[in-house]
Amino acid sequence: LAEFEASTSRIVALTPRQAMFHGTGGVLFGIYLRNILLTLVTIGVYYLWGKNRLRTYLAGQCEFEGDRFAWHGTGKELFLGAVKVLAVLIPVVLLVYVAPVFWKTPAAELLGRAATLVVYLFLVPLALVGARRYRLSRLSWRGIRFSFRGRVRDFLKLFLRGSVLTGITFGLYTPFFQTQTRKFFSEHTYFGNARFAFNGKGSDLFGRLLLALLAAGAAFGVAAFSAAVSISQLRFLRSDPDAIRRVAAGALPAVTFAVVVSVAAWFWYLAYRHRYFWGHTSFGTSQFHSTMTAGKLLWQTVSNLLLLVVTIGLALPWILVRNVTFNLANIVLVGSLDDLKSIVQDAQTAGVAGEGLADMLNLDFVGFDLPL
Amino acid sequence: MPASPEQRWNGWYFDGRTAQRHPVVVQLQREGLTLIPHEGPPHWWPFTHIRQTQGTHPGEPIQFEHGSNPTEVLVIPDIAILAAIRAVAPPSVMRFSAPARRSVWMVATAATAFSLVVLGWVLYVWGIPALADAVATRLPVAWEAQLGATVTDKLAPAERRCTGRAQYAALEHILGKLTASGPPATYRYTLIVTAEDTPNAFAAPGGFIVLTRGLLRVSDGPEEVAGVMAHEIQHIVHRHGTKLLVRELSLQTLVSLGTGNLRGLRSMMDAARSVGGLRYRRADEMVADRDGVRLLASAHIDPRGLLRFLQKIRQSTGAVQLPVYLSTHPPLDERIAAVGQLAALVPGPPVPLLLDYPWAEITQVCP
Repeated sequence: LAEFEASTSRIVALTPRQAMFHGTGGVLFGIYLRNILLTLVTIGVYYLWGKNRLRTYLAGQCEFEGDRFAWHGTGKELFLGAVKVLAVLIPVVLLVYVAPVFWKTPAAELLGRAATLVVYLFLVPLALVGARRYRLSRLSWRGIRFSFRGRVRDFLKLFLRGSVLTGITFGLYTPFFQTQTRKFFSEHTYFGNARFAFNGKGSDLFGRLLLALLAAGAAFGVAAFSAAVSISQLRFLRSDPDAIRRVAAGALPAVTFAVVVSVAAWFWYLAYRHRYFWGHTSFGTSQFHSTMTAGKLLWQTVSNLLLLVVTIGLALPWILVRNVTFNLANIVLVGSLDDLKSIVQDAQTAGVAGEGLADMLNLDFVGFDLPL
Repeated sequence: MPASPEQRWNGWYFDGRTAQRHPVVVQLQREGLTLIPHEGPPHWWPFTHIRQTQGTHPGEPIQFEHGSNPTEVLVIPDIAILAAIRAVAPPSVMRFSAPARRSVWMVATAATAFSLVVLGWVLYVWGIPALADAVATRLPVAWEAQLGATVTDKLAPAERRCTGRAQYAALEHILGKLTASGPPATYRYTLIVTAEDTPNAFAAPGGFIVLTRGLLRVSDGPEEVAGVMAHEIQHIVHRHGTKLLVRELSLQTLVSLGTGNLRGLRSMMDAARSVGGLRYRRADEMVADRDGVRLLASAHIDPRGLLRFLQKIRQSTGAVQLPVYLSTHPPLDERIAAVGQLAALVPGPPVPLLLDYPWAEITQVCP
């Protein structure tokens, strides 16, 4: 019997667990409309309450192991956060962006440019960490709060170094930068008192990125060669008024081939990165896995674009639902959930200023994120 | 009084300290809920201390929270408990809300969508122009002049400006004649000719009028240039540049408010905003033409000069014209017809505009 129980628990432990999304595009569409109307009527003030309403809905529609997530943020706190951020940002913006329009001195222009750099290099990390701290602190599952405990100072160092090296290497450092960012955001994320872990390395992604770039480069090389052959034939057709059209028609298959190969290579890399990032993320003794493939990712992107274009943007709520469902459907957690028994509440306080800043800088999450 | 079976619900209780699920039976009382776990003592949750955090959308289970630090959570899959609470609890408990019925929800959505379209249209047709008028007329002239100087510096940089003194004197003579005939001048006008070969002219807020060498080259006689100047003066007098700025900002704000930070929708709404903004600009052009002809008439300058100039531009552009909704200006045929009608109404024979400078050499303003 003991052997049977042991094997049963092994089977249970190895059963992949998945989160589910129950939301529908119709309800979301209604929420969007209501938000837009109230935002317009209140000259923008309701925007933050609307945003909070949307988050409440999205979190409440996500279910894991029979229990739904819950969002605990409020519109009022978002509003107060925005007021605080505006109180600091408005004088800065006036000083560095508007002043040079009126005082056209080289010093003022230089100050404006320096300020743009400062905004990017310092405010962006501040906003990313602050927003993440806020968002996770307001999210719960089974009554236990998530939290983010990364420090701005640490991320600032990572961000500055990563930005500079990515620039110097013409983007080749990107896999390292993204992996470090992912590591930072994963390893400082907690559910109760239990931490998520990440053990990926940038060097593992670098080779794949290089391969994707080489494939795209080679495809464009072939296309250029094919176009050159077509152009060399133009000499015999110079008197032909249709020559350019013919060359374009001749080069079209090659260019199409190059674009298709590049897109395929890029999506192959993106899908690999998704699998790699999640495959190296764990929680307690449970391990995340991603079932993402390039085909699935490409179809999701293309079909979303088509939907958006065909419906002149009206399908946006349905696209959001598709995306959340897609993200959740491609991530599984394998392992026993026995760890949950030992998890205790360890909620962290988090201000809302970083969230306000991220909203104003129009920043989305980077790195590790709950697929919400 | 013990609760009847229909006043008992199965649910899950989370104590807020651990992630453990505790099955409970929830018993409805007049003042609150009693949570009876399989093991341990029952919990008493008075309605006044309960917050509903989920269960307002179709398909969501009801989620109640109680207390803080730790916050206890109760999840009840059956939403019928909300109706039962309403039936037995005092009216102050009515803050618990159930998912709206599908038909109600659909009507509300349709009504909201309709209100949005109406509101957007009212703002676009009436609200934004009214705001632009209100702001532009209250803006100090000095601010407008600074704004205009910045715009002019960008579009007509100093190194591209022509310097011929005699030619400037002739052109300023025309400008002076026009401004002296209009209402008392609020602005100090500055005339600039740039060494561009495309025939073009524009006005910047605060009194800046920029003409290109190409425009002088295609014009046959001072009346044509006077016509263009009269048109540009009207843009300045009516503060069209400043209003354009206010309208653009308002439309941008409207788009931002409507779309939040949803980038896909934002880019589409931005395209709509650009096209929508052009309609205002076309209306401005018609006003500048109309009042330009009036100004020419009061300065005793032949308004047919403007008409001839427009016809010339019409001939040079030929059949290729942008669709109206994508153009900053109304169709030339429409403008020519409108200016022609107004010019025909101007009484008396036209007085030739005499200058001390031979017009044929006016393009030498740019050495």
